[in-house]
Amino acid sequence: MSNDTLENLFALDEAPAVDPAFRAGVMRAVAQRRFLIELAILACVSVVLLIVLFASGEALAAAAAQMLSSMDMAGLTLVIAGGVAFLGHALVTRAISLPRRVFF
Amino acid sequence: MSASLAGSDAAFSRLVDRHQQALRSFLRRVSGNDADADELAQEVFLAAWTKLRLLRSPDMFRSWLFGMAWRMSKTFKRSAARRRARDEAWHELQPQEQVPTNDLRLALNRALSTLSEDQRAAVALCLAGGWTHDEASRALEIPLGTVKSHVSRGRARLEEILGDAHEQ
Repeated sequence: MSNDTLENLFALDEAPAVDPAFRAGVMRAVAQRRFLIELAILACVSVVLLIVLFASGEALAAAAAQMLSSMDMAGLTLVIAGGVAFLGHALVTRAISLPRRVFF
Repeated sequence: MSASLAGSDAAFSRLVDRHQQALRSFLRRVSGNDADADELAQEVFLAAWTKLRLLRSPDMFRSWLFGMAWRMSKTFKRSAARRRARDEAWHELQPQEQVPTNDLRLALNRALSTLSEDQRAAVALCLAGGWTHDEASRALEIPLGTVKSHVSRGRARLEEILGDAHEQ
């Protein structure tokens, strides 16, 4: 048997050159993995925030009371609006870029 | 490649398109089962997406991808064998239908299955995939001399078996 025949036989066994179904399957799995990673990150961040808030609850309450007494309503509204805008921007622009971080 | 590293799904899907045929063909020859190979190929691409940042040089993507596929195929094979045994038992209970088969393809698969695991991988890359011995050696993490010997002996064995099958 010649080498050409062997190569021809291997050519019969090739996977399809273009396979949109396979690509879609891979990208669906990638989307699921990305979702799980983002969920895990959010859960970790939430837990850390809760711990920080719990640990510094009294100090924060005292600071808030002091701030409220020295700040009028317009200033308070500006601070809250700024906070909401910052969090919204981080969410919309996906500040956490994937797959740059390796978690597994 | 750099767009994929930056997180672009479109760029990564182009990488999938570019390498899926070669990777699936390699895994089909190594595993001997098309469905298992395709399932594993999907797992390999997913692992590649997750670990893409660990790749030192974008030029090495192909050998990095195939090296990962080769390592994953070794562990995948054991669980796939168990699952296939269950599937076959289930299929035996179903009404049989005639499936056209390609005798030459079956003969090739049978011939490949007589080779050792490492020989099959070296033959699949060098003879079927057109890789150089050096590239295969790096991807499979096998010494260059061993790859050359695997390819040479594997070729002789395939020609012997397929030659006999052809004469019959």
